[in-house]
Amino acid sequence: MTVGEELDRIQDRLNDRTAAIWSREELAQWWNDSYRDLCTVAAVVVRLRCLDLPGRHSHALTFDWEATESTGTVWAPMLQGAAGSRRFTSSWESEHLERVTPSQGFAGLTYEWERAHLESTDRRYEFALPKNHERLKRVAWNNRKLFPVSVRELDASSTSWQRRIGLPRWWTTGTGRVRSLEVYQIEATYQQGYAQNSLLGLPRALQGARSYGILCDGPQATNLYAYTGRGDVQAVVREGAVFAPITCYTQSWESAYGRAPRYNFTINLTMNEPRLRHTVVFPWEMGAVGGPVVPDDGDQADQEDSFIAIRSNAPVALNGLARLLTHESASLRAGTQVWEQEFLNGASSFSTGAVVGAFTWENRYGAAAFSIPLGTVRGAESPDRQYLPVESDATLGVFQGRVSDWRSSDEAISVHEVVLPDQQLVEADTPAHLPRQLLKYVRYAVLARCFGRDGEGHNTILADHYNRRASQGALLFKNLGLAATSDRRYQRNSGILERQQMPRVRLPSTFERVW
Amino acid sequence: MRARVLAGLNDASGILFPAATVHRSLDDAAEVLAEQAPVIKRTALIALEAGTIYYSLRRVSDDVIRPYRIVSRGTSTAPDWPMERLSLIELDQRDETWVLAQGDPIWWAPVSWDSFAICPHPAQSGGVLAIDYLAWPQSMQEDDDEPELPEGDHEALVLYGVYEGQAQRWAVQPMLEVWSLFKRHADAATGRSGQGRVQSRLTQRSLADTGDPIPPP
Repeated sequence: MTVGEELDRIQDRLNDRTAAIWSREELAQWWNDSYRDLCTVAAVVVRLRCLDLPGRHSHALTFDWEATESTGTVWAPMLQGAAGSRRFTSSWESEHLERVTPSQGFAGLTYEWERAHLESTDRRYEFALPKNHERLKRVAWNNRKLFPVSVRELDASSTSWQRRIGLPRWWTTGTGRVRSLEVYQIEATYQQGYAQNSLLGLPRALQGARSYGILCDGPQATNLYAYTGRGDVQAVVREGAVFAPITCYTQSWESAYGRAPRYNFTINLTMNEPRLRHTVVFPWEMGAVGGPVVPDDGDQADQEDSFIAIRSNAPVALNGLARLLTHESASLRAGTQVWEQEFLNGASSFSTGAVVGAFTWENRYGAAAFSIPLGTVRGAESPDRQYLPVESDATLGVFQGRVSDWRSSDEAISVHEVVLPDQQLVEADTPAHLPRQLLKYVRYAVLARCFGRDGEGHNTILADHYNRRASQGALLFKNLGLAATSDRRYQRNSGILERQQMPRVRLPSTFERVW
Repeated sequence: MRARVLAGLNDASGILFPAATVHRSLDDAAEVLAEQAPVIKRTALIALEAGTIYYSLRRVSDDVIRPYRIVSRGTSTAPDWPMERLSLIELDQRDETWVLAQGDPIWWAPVSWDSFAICPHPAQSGGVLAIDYLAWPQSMQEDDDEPELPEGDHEALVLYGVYEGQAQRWAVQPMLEVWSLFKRHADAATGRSGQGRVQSRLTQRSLADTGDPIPPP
């Protein structure tokens, strides 16, 4: 169900198909507003996101007003002073401007990744979240849960918690900007993901220390022809190709009586056709029926068991997918088996040979199976870990398109976050942040706005009715995310305290350990 | 039902309300009833895959309202293992590194409306998760199709169709009257859906336990 179809239904319900009272643009805007409202109130669209360590931002700001001009995530690394009119790199600059003798300041930095090259700084250890972020549900470092704390609690625990180096244990929304979180203690070992710029196209190859399989579920591709070396490529696709058979024949049974390489006129003339088109007896006849032009060799009249050269003036078009059957050695000589390549390369141990097939169907007759990967990477799999497709901030919830990020939660920050649609949907879009059956509640919310608008069509009772129906939808949507507790029955306890074990002593990570 | 809806709207020939509009209303009505009264239940299987922690409900079916029970089948622990349902917070309380835990699945936790996590996750593929879920009804395709809902709720579908028709006419008062009738049916459907739970409940007065027994005089 697209947004356009939803708007049609709304216009039906309003009895206003001609948009005489409520314009289509108005309805589209309200639809987007209501869609976002429903996702915001329910807060059950949760996605996993892995963050770079240290945090990575699109832009570093000097002044806060620059944030309004920026697209992407922002960070304000500069210190503020002089009644908001100045920005500093280090705190001693503020003292200098205030005519105070400067004291020792910490090093300044522009981007968080610079921490990997610093000993200590007084900047917050901040991670930015994208525009469609709504709230955090869980934060983990190296797959271990981090505990949410307030700044007040951190202040009570340490005077210099903002600079403490160690394994991350806590997260806080801290003192930073909206859509950011801070993680303490500070672990600044470089753990960056791979981001593929959209201008650079699709990832073509993935490699790394881990073992994983790539899912490439394109159409089931089969090759149209196979070839055995570089010369063959020229023979089948290039103008002026040269082919040198020893034996020629026109009927398939004759092939048993000739010497290889054989030349079958009928097959070669119809190699791109599913049916037989012409049969020729002599090579020179091929040019007459549209095939490659072959010079008549008068010296060898019957041409049986002879060596002829067929020169094609017209390109022999073999469009489509081809499979190279051979393995080329360093000396450009080719072998059918891998061991031949190894032998030519001077190896001392060799692979086991196998039956080589030119086409996929030959697998049924003993040839080694092969598949042809076509298209882009659709998934990755491993028995050791899960490669989970996650949304990037440029998509609208459906896992389509290309791999734009490649990240890991190992020794990095991963968050479960509630997300919102971050772009206006247009009429051709299909909303993916809620089940299609709940789209009717978006419609009710739009109808409430329609009837609630002053002017023609205003109707308070209808607006109120549809508002209540939209609220029921929001409540229902919220309950979909509460499946863990939806049918639990709670009761007051008797108030009698049971004997409990004292909590375990927790020592700071810096406490001396003896193993 | 379509004829009854059109009769209720005094438009038996369907001039103002084409058949497609009425059909959509009936489908919406069935969905609303299924949302309020959880009567449509289905079971779907998902293969357990090595290393996989998060499972998408979109992979189960497009009619899932929410899962209410998941059974792990065919693993080494037991042929059928009803998994315990926890929230993410409860899972974290049991093990801060539950994401890394490997073994036969014991717990499941909803992560989003369209996904859930299992813990531990299997180290080897094999076995299935049998997911019992509340479902939205399938839309009716043919004139002789019958709704998936109980017979007693069919009248509610007709009422909802009339309600939608009156809403399209902006006939506020009749619309609200029919809506209140529909709500009455929907409430009855909700009560019916809970009959099994009510009948199986053990009901007794609790003892007046005040903690320490009263010492004898």
